Amino acid sequence: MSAPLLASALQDAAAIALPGAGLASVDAARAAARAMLSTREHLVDARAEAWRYTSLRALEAQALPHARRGVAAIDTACLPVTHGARLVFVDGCFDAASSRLDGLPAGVSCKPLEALDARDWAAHPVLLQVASGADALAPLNLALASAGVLLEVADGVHVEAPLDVIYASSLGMPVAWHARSAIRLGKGARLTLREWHLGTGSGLATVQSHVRLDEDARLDLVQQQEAPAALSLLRRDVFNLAARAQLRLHMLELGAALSQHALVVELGGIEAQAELRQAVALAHRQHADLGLDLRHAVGRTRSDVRCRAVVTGRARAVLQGAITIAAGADGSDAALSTQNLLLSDQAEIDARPVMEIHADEVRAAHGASVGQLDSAMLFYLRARGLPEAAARALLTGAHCRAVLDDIAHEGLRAAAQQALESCIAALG
Amino acid sequence: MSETTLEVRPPTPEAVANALGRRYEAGFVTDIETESLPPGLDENVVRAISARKHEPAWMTDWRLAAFRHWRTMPVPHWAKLRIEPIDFQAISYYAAPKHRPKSLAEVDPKLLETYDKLGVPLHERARLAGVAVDAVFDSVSVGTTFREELKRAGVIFCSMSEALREHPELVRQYLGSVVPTGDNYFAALNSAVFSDGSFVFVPRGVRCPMELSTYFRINAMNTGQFERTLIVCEEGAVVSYLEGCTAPMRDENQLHAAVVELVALDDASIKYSTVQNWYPGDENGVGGIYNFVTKRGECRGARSKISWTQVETGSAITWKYPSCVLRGDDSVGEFHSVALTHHHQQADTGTKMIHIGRNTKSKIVSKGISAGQGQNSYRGLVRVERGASGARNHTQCDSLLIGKRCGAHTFPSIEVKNPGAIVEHEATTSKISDEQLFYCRARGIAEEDAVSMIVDGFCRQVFRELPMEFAVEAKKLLDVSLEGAVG
Repeated sequence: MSAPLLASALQDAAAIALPGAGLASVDAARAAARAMLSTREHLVDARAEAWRYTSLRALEAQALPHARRGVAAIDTACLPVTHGARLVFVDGCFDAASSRLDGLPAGVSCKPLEALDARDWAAHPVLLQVASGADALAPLNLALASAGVLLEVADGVHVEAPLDVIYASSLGMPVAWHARSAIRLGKGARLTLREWHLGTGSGLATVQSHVRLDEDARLDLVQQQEAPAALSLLRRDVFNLAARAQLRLHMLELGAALSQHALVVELGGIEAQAELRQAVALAHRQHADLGLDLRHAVGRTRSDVRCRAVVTGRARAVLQGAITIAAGADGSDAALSTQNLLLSDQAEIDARPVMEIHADEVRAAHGASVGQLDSAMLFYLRARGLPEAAARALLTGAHCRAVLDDIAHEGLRAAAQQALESCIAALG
Repeated sequence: MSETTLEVRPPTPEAVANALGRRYEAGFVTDIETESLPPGLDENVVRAISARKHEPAWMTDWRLAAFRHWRTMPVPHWAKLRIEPIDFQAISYYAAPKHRPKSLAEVDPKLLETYDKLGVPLHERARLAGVAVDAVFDSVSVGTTFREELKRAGVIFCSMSEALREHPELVRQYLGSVVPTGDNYFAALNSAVFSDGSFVFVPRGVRCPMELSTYFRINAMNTGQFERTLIVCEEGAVVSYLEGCTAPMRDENQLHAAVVELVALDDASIKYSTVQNWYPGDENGVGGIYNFVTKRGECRGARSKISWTQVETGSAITWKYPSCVLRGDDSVGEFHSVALTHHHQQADTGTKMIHIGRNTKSKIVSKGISAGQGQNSYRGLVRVERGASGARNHTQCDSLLIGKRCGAHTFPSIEVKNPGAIVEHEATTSKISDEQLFYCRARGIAEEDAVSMIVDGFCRQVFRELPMEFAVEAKKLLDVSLEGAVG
């Protein structure tokens, strides 16, 4: 018997008109996803290693209606003030009034799911694909995705100003919404993008995206997760990098009751590079789990992963980071480090920095540490007249901020640092 | 003055293969009359093993409970190992020499000759070596040396069968208290069918006057070896225990599923060293021992210490995680490991350090060497429980790759629930660098010797933890592996 969440999702999937409805390929893919979903009893296999530290049992016991059902009005008060181009989705619905797409340069195509035509769906099959054998999250997302973006940057186009994709939750009642996106940067293209989760709502959101970077492309992506405190946010991002492509990804994990982020990065072309940074600050009963699967498929690829977390209250931060260097991927260079501060008796840190190495001409190293604030540093600050709370906040902020300092865009960096500072100040 | 040019190049794959082409010197078979149970496993076999050993009823019931539990358990697949399905009904679970000696003086000369060839002192050389040895041949212990000397010091060192007869209350108190019968698939199997092993009891305040050692030898075909070792150190007691093992070269994969339990009470210290040299299979991956071992020590007392040191060079497959449960305040756990995989060998090995008491400390040093098509995985868990304030752990995990087709993998897990804990993990993966070889070659050192020196240096941090005679043997084993010259 299916979990209540899956049962209600199946009912909604049959009843709601979603983007692409009426197009044969979309209808067929959604029907296949519904069929796959109907065979699942649970959202995920709780015995699987990926879900060792994160349980979805309480979540799936709730029958959450889709946000599109019975929504009368959208409260946009929670949206931030931004100045560049942006797409805004509120409770899984595209909010055209709050979005601004007219200032995008030539060579950039950016459309919400509901604006896609048959040619768009056909040109981007990843929007309609679910891996066979996948857990229920993938078919759930496809069967019910109402939000998301198709973003393409043509060969050689450099987009200087950052683009925002904002997912806001605002409804007072617990609901579920789902988004899926496809992003492609052509050869030599450059883009700075911010994915921003915020709002005041509750329930479940699943967000899945597939990003492809062609040769020499570069994506600077900031994922600023300040989702509402009562929301469960389950994300899956897949990045494919061609030769010499560069991914600079900064992840800020501050919000959500439960945040699980599955991140797959495939360095598929020589000299492809991925720099991943994560800053986590959690309190109360928050739970954040990053599951990283980073693959060096060919030689002379480079990855550098640095994660910093601070947890207090009864919060729990999890990093399951796997880096694989395939046979023949000689000349690869991989580094993974995770440093964590545990600030309360009831909080927990779990780290699993895995490496699988199948080539010998490589450099691979990982490090992990868990501890508390350095008492010598604390003493140093207090000896100079700082109150203990201020000294602690200063050191805690510095610990996490270190991984945000290399956000290339000044405005995004300042906004991320500001969000982090506010969150750490609230940790107490 | 003429100039000479030193040609330095990376070792060729062929040269490394030659260098690592080990000679397995312990691969002979002893022609000795053996009595054994027919292949197969059911409750009658479990009862038959228990009956042959004249065990008390509670022990038979203990075995049967373990067997019933084992039948409900799935075969574990989580390790990074390719394991051909094991037909547990095709294995004989008991094999022993027909002639059972009452003392060392009665031991069959062929057996003495066997252990002599293996370099294990059972007879006249024993006194010179000064190490007490329990020799386990297939399913039974065939002799234990220095028993009287140890008895005078109050130390009990005997086979597990004898311990069940002579000291049943001690065995019953501690057996299964560290590794319960249903702990895991292979521990449950061992609990049902274990046939012998060693028992050590060091009473309060006694420092064991000599090193204790058990030498495990598989000889018979179509058999598995399932020994059980239990070491108990009372308050303030100290013991150092060594373990070695070999098997004949055969095309079949023989199963070795052992359980080792250590108990250290207040201020006690147990040092457990292993040089594992089971037959690794040939260069094509044919034959070799499947080595599935559960080893766990519990620091029950305050300020107690358990130290595991292992050098793993043999076995087709190694599945082994010697662990420490640090229950007593201020207790210490250590794990030092060298694991070498060559040809088609696979090793998935590591440790668990469970910090429960306050101010507990653990240290992990793991060195993995992969060559040929060998696959070497470190799998570890450091867990700091909520009450383990002041806990400290440092883990260092290094891998050395020799060749293009081998693999080195690390799967460390860190789980911390106490804010007063400090846990650090660092890991590196490297190959023998051209610069290191150049440095040695520029000083006139042959390439083969240079590789040997570099590997020796890589492992030194672990070797120095071994008792001297084992360190010599471990070094020799690695040298044999590297014999044949590089370049």
